[in-house]
Amino acid sequence: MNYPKYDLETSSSEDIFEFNSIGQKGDIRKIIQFKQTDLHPRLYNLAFGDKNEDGSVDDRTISDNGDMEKVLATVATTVYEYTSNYSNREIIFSGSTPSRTRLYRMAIGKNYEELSKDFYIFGVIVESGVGKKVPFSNNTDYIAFIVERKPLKLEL
Amino acid sequence: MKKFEKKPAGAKEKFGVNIKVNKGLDKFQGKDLFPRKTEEINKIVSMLTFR
Repeated sequence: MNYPKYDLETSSSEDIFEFNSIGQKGDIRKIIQFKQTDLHPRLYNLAFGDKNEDGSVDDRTISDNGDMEKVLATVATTVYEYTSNYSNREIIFSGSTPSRTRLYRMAIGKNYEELSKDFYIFGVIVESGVGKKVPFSNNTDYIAFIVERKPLKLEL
Repeated sequence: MKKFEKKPAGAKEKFGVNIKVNKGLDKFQGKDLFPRKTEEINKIVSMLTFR
């Protein structure tokens, strides 16, 4: 995506990432973790939030640092990087609140054409208590999203 | 005039950003940094039917 992005630091296994959000409220350390879900071995949870000075993390803070697009583009970059290393893993994520989940839906919708070149993108809906993974549509509310890296194309 | 930023030592450039391994982050390996989110996502996954 052609948005400005922050440089990243990552753990040796590249499943934890950190970066500094630099905006109107100063520098805010962000941390991202990809973690295997309990019930589906190929499905990994993407969680991210602010890292506090005491080392604790908080995924509910509204940073309001004036750089939301840059932060989201940076998080999206970690999904590209992670799935480059672990291409058989699917990534599931949701916002910490329904409004944030809607924000993610809008961000995906806005960039769907480009994202869908590299990922299969799904939304998760619940019907009669049963969760379903359905192809992403811009006009549907979801409780979560799942992305799966498309096989890399070999250019000969 | 274009400003050139110095790439951090040991960083690789991918997807338009510099990505540098910070072994200090390895201490979080195996830890659940977002337990509330983990619980929430596991609940969603438990409802999911996969094809």
